[in-house]
Amino acid sequence: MTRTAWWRQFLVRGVLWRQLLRWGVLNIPVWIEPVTIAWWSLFFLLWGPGRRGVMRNLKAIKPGSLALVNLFRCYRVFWNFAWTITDNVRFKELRVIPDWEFTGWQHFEAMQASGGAILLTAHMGSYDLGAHLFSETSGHRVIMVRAPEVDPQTRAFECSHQANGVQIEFNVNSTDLAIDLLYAIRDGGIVAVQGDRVTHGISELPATLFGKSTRVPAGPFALAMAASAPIHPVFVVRRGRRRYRVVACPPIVIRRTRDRQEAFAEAVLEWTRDLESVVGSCWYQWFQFEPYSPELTT
Amino acid sequence: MNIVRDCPAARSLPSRRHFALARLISLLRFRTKDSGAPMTFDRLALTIDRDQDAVEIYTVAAWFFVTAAWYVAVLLPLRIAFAVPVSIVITPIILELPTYITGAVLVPLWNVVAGTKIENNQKLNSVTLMTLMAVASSYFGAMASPARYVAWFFFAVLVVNATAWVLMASLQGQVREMERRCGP
Repeated sequence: MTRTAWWRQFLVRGVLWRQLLRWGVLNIPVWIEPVTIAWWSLFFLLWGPGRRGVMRNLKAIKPGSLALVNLFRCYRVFWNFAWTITDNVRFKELRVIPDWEFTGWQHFEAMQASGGAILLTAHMGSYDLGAHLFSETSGHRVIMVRAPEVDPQTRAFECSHQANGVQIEFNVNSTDLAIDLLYAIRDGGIVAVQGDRVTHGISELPATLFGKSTRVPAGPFALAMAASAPIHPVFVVRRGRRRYRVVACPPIVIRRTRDRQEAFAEAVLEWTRDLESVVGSCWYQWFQFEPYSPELTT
Repeated sequence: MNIVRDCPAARSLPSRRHFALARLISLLRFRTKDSGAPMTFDRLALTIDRDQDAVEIYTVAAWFFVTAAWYVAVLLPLRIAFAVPVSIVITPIILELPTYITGAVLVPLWNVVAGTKIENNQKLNSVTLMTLMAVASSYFGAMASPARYVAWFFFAVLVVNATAWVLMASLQGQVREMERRCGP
């Protein structure tokens, strides 16, 4: 191992923290967990880029708010994130499931009844746990598309500690993946994608969120048009300790017209409206650690 | 793991609590509460797991933390105005230390010696932490400082919890009947 590689595990996306989290879930008594999580959330406030990213986003979500207030809000985001990833690891290691509440059940049922569908979600609550819930309750094959971990050791660690039940695909080769996903939807599968963050090398569509220009991934919208499948906006919101709520919104149907851009723009508008409504009320669990808009970086 | 569907009353099931005292309180609440309370959402799935209740876990964590922070503040060679904030910051680390020793040193050593593959040490660490706190409380309980009231309170809670455990042991039939009514 080189000197650089040795240091990498201590970086915020390094493997050490994932190992420590897993170790903590298996070792820290449950009744002392709130103290441990409160302390570690405070420790991770030292992560400058993440803290600044959240605070800049909060500035747009809550215009006119004071920086000091946003610092406390940022702590709340970190606190919720810590609980969420802990619940996720607890599920993987000990198969402990949290409590679930559902709103918009009729849309959820419609998704289950439809042949294939796209489940569009955001980096909120426990989207990983949510995907496992869908896979266990719907009977459909669920394919979760996500960005790969930046750190190779972290990526290897996550792959070796995956829970069964959900197929995970990484959006590294978008062309090959798109064809696979298209077939999966036509076979009645549900493709779960996060539509609030664009990673490098992924095609994107322009959007507006909280009055700021942003970009959303084009993949889910193009896939929906190609497969003639509806997009189901679904959010997994953390409601408290080991308690989540699945919020299913009305499906977005993309019209097949000659003017693809116009159809996409309409669908993106619907998506950002849902996203804005949920993020606006649950800003404390939008795990977007980078400014979502270029306007916020200046 | 059992799951109860669309029965909000199941939130109060004693089986969702860790400590005997919390189980006893939830048993009494379950009997007095209206089980037909309306749901504010479409569907509900509740997990029957002994660590599921947030109020219980937050209360125990706060009590344990305040007790430990008080002891640490008394031990620090600082004026109380400085000792309190310092103890609030360092107590969580001190509380984690025993789990690092058992979970990262003693149990891995045991695994090497005995050829076992024990990874889940929550129960062991839980007993270790409570024992260490009982030892610390015995020490502070005998001191002529305000910390002795905190120590006495710690032992009072232990005694009440032990009494609740005895009561709960005799009420197991009722707990099972409640679970049956919720249909897990």
